[in-house]
Amino acid sequence: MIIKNKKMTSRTTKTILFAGLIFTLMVSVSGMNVAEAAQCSNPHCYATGYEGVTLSGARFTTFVTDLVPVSSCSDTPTVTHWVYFSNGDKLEDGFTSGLVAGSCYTTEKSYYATDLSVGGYTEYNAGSLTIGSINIFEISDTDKNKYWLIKRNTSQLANILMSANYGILTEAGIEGNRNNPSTTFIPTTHIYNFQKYAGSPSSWLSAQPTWDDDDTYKYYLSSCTNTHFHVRTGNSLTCSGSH
Amino acid sequence: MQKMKQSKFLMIAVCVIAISAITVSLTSFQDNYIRNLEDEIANKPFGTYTQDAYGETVLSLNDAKERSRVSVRESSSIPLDLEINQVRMKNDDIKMITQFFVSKNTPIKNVSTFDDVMDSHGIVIIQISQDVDPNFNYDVWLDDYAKSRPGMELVDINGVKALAGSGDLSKGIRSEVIFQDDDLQLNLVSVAYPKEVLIDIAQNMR
Repeated sequence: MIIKNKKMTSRTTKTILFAGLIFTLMVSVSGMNVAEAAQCSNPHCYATGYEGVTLSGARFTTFVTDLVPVSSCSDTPTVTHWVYFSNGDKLEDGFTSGLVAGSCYTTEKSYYATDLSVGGYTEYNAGSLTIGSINIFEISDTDKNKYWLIKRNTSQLANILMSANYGILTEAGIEGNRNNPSTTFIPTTHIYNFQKYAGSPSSWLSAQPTWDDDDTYKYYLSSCTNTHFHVRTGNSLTCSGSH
Repeated sequence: MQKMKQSKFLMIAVCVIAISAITVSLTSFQDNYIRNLEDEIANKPFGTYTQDAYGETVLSLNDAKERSRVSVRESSSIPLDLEINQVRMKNDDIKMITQFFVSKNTPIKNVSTFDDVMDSHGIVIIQISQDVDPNFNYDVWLDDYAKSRPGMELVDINGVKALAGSGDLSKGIRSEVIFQDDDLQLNLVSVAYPKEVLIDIAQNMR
């Protein structure tokens, strides 16, 4: 009897321990932090200015700085702008480093991208840039024939047929996928001369962005003059230097 | 007998513990999912489809019609698990009326952007009235658009040539239908429904 009771006790103990292990595993799995989506990896983090306005073009000027990735090709430090359409389509162009259209670049690359219904998001390599160069990035349909041009300076990078000859929002600034990055992730970059092709009749006008940085994950922009901004990651910054 | 009773007791105890664990984990996971969905929304680009982009909120489609003085279309074929969340009106260089339909079970408390509607498994219907350039050839544009967009095809909606395509909904890529009805261009967009549903909605717009 004693031997049988000992066996039962041992079996009971094992059973309870096993059940407890299952319970612990289930609770620990449920409590796993699935908050990765809240950090810069997904979605990305930004410091941008935006304006909700009916427009047929947007352009801005940028002074290109060093964007060498911190680690391999997993980073996406980007200076860029977007035009958004009412059906969810987006066009963007700017410069970046790291992965561009599936290839890894450790030097600055001009790029453009489309996010279209049915087709999804696609990136395109648009050629090299030099550090210290000044570039005007433009997305526009000034003819209002629904063919949107993507341009860098005087070069036409793409001609994309859209369902509308107007956009409803434009946005410009920086984007990245690292939380609290260093100041070398996106160093001080000048962005200025924000313009929209709007009005009736339409012409190139000064844009009126609402500016917003991300103090939680350290993506910043500073208004150095009414129209000239410095953007950077890591630390809030001053407006030293010429504008 | 004693042994069998003890075994049964142990089995019942294990089952109760396992069921409790599953219930707790599912509840926690759902709470985490909703919280993290809201976090994700909060961390989206700030300017993504804000109030300004679609104009002011109006009471109804009729309200938008009276205030903008354009004709509107309303469908009798909206999926039953959706409800109208809001109607927006933009009345400047273009006259644009937008309906946001969202799932009746959406966990998003304050739907305000296009992305909110997509995250709510909803549909956005956009109606635009604008001055048409007499040099713009709609049929040529339709053909060019279908050729330039893999996945988009020409379809017939109430005897009129239109465009339709299904996105890979599992990856959040939008389906869309685009068609012209008199002076209106209508776009129907969703990441929850394929083109067949959007075509049905469009065919039942009056």
